[in-house]
Amino acid sequence: MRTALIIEDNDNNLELIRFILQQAGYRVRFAMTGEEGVQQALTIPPDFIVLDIQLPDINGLEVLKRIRAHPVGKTVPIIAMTSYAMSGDRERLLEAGCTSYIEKPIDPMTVIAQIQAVIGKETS
Amino acid sequence: MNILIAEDDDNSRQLLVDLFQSKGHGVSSFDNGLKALAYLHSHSVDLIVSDILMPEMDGYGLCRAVKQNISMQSIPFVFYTATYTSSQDERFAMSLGASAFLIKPMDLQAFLGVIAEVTKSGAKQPRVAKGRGLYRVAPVKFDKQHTDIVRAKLDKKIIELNQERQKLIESEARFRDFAEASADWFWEADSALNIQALSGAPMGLSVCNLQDIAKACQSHLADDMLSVLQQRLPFSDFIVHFIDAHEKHMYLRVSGKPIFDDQLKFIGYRGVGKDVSEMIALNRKVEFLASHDELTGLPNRSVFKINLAQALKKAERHRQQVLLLYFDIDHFKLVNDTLGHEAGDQLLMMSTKRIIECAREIDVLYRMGGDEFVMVIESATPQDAHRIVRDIVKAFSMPFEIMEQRVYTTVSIGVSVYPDDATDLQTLLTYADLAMYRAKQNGRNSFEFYTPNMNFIPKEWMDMEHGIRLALRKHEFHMVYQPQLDAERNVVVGMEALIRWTHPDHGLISTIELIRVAEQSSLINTLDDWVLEEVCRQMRVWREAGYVLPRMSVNMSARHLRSDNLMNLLNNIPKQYGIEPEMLCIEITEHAILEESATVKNNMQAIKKAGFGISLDDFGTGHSSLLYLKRWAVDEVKIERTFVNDLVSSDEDRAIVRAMVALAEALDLDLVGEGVENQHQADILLASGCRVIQGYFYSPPVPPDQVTQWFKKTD
Repeated sequence: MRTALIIEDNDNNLELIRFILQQAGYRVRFAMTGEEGVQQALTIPPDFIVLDIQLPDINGLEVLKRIRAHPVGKTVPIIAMTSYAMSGDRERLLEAGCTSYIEKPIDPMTVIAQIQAVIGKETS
Repeated sequence: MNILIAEDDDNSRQLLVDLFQSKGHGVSSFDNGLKALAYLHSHSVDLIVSDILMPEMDGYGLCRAVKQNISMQSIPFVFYTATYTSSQDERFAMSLGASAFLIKPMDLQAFLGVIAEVTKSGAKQPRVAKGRGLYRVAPVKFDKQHTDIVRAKLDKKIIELNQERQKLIESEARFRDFAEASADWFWEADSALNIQALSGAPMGLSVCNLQDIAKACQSHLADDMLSVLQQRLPFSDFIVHFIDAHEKHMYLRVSGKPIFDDQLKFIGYRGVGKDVSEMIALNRKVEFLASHDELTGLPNRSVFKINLAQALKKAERHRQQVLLLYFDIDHFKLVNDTLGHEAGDQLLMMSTKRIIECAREIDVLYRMGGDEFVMVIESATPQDAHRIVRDIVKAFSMPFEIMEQRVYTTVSIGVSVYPDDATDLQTLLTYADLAMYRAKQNGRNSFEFYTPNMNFIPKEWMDMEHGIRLALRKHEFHMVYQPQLDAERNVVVGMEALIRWTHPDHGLISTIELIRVAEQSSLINTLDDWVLEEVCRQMRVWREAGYVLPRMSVNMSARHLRSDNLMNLLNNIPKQYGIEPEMLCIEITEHAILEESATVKNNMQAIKKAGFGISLDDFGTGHSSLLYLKRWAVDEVKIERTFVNDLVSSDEDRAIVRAMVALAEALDLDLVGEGVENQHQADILLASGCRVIQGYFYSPPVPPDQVTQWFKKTD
């Protein structure tokens, strides 16, 4: 069973993503601040990360940079969630090492397919 | 002359002792016949004076025993009695071989006269016992009357003996019951100390010698027990350790007393023993549990203190170094919180193993509690110690496999050295802890040796977060205010509000340290909140007292500036106290905006929009460009105090200040010179074009009641 780390400060979004990923057969961990997210990602590396870009303390871009800057976090797939599509933001995200991104609001019907397109289907 | 006195009445005996001693005789006295007899077996005596009625062995018994013993029978035996005074008694006494039969009380002179006569004649013609006395001897006629009396006495004696026998039988049965009920076993040893066990002795012990037991003794020194045995003394509760045929460790508790025959000759020992292996094992377990950590099996803090104290003593004697390593597992809490306590426990056990593998056999690791460990390294060269510490840090570079997850954690190590850093246990521990704390601050996954400049964070504030929370609750923080003067017009144009922490035990605590530590966590936000509220409250108090207030600068941490909650705070608190945003200036450090973050930018624009001023503290240290500042909505910069410090001596600093002034003017920024301490500095600043000055030269930060001297009253 693969493990997902969700970094998301919004309770509702977190619950939604968590539910979807659990239904799809992933083990789910979460962090509600960027700081905590970075530490978890580097201390107990998950198989992939779903990262909200707007966080209360350090922003998602910073989280991304810090994870990528560390040897442990160099290769883990990171899927960013952006609330509105700004092409400039996306480029900066990809530049900073983001693997892929999905747009908010999340569509429960398609989001898992979007994620699995990046990390592969869970086989168990 | 050596005289033996047997007399059970203390006064009478003492009287006789004094009497004979006053005449220059050697006297030995006893309170019963048996003791007297024991003495006679090993001592030579010239005269025996005995009472008749005595416990254990009466005078008749003593006399009979003496007169039947070849080596004693020549000793003159004098009865001196108050109870048995009849002529029959006298005849019976004389028939036993007594030399005289005297009745108490007796005139002392007469008494001594008889004694003298008895001993004289005894010396002249040694007595051969034929049941005849020398003095007042009359041929004994066993008439019928006498026979009846003797028979009556015998009958009485027989009855008594029977009664006693019955009592003995009962008593023996009772003791047998006790013995059978008890887990003890009984043993006897012969005069060569070979044990002959009587009941239930464990295998291996039944054939051994008491001297072997002494050698296996654990509760006492073997030599002590051997000497006890040699002196034929009793012993009790000696714990003896054996390994039996099945390699099982056995502990026996043995007690014994010497036994002597009638002649008081030593014939062996008799005693009890008990298998106390289980009790000892249990004891050891209890001791182990009390002194060791159950999870890792490592000795705990209490053992550490004992062992380190010993190690320090030893090191002092041998003039050696002792190194103290203080470990903290980085991110332990995160693992515990995320994966659960079980995972945390596994991490602790695995970490313990890795640490121990890097050390030498003799280096002992202790668990102090939580994720903190201490290692004591004795008799090692500094190179050895460095190698061990480096190896330990390196050992954590590989991830741990816990609950099917890879866990990357590192270790921070602080090292203190005896005797270089300190010589007492507590200080060494504190220093190692401080160094560890510093290693953690320097990005974890490293080690630090203690250096004296680490000292400014006392141990008690190591857990600063806790300390600050406590201080907030206990109202240990207070605010002071430092005026900012327009030096040209000589009026106060602003005030900077500064937090102070007066600790009840440690006095005033460095604010720089406080902020630096608080900034490590979100606690700084709580602190900022408190400051803002306290300043607004104070402003309202002043205003209600009728003062016209200048603008108040309040410091806001970099961390807070990155927080979404900042505006919420700024929009609400001043409003509660009726303080307009224009009255407040939010002071941030240059470092806070170096991080190019959207949140920071948004926050600064929101602050500005809400009407607050924004002041940039420590300007000149962060290498930010002034142009940049404008974009970030800053409207005041404060020239960093290090530039001000050197204004007088450094041409370069004067040039920098002049450039800052020029740029500030061009960008329409206000300028404040900080840390001004003397007239000279103030003059140069003024001449350079920086008019607003803050510093000790005008006023140190002062408590609220002293600030008011700078305020004007409303009319």
